[in-house]
Amino acid sequence: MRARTLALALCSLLAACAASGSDPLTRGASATTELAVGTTDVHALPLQGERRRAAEKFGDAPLLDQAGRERRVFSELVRDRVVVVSFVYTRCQGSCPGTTANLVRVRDLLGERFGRDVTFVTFSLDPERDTPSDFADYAARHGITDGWTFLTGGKERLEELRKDLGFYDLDPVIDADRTQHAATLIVGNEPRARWMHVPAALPAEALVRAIERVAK
Amino acid sequence: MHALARRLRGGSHAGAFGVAVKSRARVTARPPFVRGLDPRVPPELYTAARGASDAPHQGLHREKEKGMNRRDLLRLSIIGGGLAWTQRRPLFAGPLARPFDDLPPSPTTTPFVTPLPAPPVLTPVAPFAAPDVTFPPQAVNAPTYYKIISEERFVSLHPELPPTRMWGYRDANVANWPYAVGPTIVARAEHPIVVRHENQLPANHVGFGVPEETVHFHGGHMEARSDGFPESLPGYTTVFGPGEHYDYGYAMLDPGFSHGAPDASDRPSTLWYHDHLLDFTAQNVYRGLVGLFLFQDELDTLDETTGLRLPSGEFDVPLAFQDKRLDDQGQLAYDVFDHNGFLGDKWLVNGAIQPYLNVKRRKYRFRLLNGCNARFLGLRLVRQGGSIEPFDLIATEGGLLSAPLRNRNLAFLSPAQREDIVVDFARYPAGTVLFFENRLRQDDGRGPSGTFDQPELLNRGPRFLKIVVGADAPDPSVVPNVLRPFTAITQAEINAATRRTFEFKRRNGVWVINGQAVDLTQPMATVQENAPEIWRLKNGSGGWWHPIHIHLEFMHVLKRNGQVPPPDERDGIAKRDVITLGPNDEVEVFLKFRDFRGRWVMHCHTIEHEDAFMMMRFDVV
Repeated sequence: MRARTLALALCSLLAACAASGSDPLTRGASATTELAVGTTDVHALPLQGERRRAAEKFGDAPLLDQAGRERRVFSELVRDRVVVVSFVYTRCQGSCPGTTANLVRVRDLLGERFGRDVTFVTFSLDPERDTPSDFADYAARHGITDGWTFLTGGKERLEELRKDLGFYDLDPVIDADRTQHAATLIVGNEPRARWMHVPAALPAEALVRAIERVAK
Repeated sequence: MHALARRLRGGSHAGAFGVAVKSRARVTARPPFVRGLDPRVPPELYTAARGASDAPHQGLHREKEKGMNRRDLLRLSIIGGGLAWTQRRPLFAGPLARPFDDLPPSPTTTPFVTPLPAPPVLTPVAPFAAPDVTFPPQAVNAPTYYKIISEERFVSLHPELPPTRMWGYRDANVANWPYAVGPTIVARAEHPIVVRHENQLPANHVGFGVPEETVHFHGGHMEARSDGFPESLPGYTTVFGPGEHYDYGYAMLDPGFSHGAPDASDRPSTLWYHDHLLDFTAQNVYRGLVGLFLFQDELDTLDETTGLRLPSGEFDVPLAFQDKRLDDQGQLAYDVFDHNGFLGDKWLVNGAIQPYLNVKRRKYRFRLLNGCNARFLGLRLVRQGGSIEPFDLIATEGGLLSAPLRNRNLAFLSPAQREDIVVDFARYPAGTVLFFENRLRQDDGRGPSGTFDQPELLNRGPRFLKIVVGADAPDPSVVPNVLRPFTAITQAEINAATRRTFEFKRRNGVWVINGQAVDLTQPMATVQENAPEIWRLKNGSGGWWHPIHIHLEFMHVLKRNGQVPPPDERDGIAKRDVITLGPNDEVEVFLKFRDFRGRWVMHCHTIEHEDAFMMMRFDVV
């Protein structure tokens, strides 16, 4: 605790320096990612202040991607990146197909920036039924290949993520009703500790503008 | 004493209240309140006693003042308030009085050890070329020029905490601005001003907040480009980034001036200015981009020997109420993933945590601003020992009232609302201690418990400010029976008005107006300049509250839920620029958009809701 306290005192300076030379939109997403090898504890990462807070929200407990591989969420998919986060489930007949279709349009508008400067992460709202192969089919159906990770796994982990990331309703009745789930996206710039959310149904052009604003 | 006798004679409410108070003056062991429970928190935590507390917090085991509606509350006599008080401490300090986000509680601080800050008045600079500003031909007085710099700075919010990294406005004539609140602008009727805002925020900022700006003059009546439109559009740049500046022109002319009908009764009193950046207003305002703006004319002269002779000078004290959360290093904490509405657990006035103010035994004018992101305030002036003390309400957002509303005991302020009140400390012996306490119960960003008519008021609450009564002082000030009279909207105008309905609702995690999330590229409504409009503002979002702010003009409130509105918002007495929509409320307001065409916005002023898309553009053509 004391060490963290001391480190925090320096955090804003260090963080500002760290960020100053690196514009996430012009830098490969694969750039220096210091993985805390062999651990799934984000507290082992050398991050401070508000970046640490976001790291704690995403966590590193692994989830399975559409290829069935274990992925550490924060370290592998969020850290040092500009990300667009969504929650869907493959059997969804409500807002999800629209959300995904809209994100496909955003991907197309982003062109070559997609996958390089901006990546998409989609979490399952129905992890008890969504399997990695369901998501593989789902991605294929929407013409989705690289740069977009679909994650499913333990129900508790995904529920916690959903709530930590603000995809919930304070009214427990609405929150329990999957058809009324939050049709929003998070757009985040991890190195800047800059996060916002946007309605998933915004015109794709407006979503691109939001991504550009956050990525600055 | 005769006030008491009058109230006891005249008021069935006073009598009824006295009885009610006696029967309810006990701490009941009610089960925890269910509404605020977070599904993530194990139930046993809710009954855990809170740790060391620096101030009374809202708790579930406090009595509430039940059985009264809003009007009764406002009519309560001081003696009634006194009886309501019980000295008994609650059994528990309150189960998890802090809101349910993932931020830990702030470090504790000793209350009332730091004096109330008084951010100085903005000082003029030499005139400079401001080619983007256009003043109408009716603006005959030469403008006064000002420069404000927005910057990152470290501010002491409390002597026991390390300095807090904040953003804020600073007078360019002053090198060091040790305040968490910007300079106070004072402008005079019909005397235009030009304010150049220079953005010196850190371009490489890491953390919540975006170092781009657009400055909204909240409550102002000015050209559209100087209103702080939230987003730059093609060919219409209103947002400026680090290293850039933007010139704002405030004509300070009376509404109606361009139609040969300047209405001097439509002048403001206490205003403020703050950042309005699309999607990031909550973060930027919370970082500190806030300042006060006071209005002056031949009635409200800011001199208690002239005009209306309201308390002035050192006896006219703006009080900006804010709540914040701090981490263990005293730095601002904010959960960027929570969009319900931020609630803090530190109580700041003018940027200091729980300050004190020494007053003389005489009248004071306090200009109350709710500068919180999402917290509603039910402020009471409470004497140490417990009695609720009276004050006169003299102004709301829409300026001085027609006539004072005397002997009030509750200032109910939704986010961004203002009320000017006058307190007479000559009533109290030297050494008397009083507090501004927030008695309104609110557990999350949905808004306070209860309804607009019947908000849930607790019998204790966090104390924002301690006031200590000192020596006698001459008091030439008065609160006259007539302030700034204006006529209510006539039936003819009501009949001629264009009617529109706007429904404020939550849908799939997004706040919408008439079903739409914000889209500033096109107007949701296009209104004719100088034509009467009646807007029905309707809350369709269940348990959520929404304080609705309309830019450019003040609202005349015609009806609340089909009834005559309470006096503090009733047309003919008061005007408002923020209308409180409690759960399922429906309020009808009259508007006339005069003088300035262009793009404007209406939005919820629970700023997280505003950022979560509860905003619409309307164009005046």
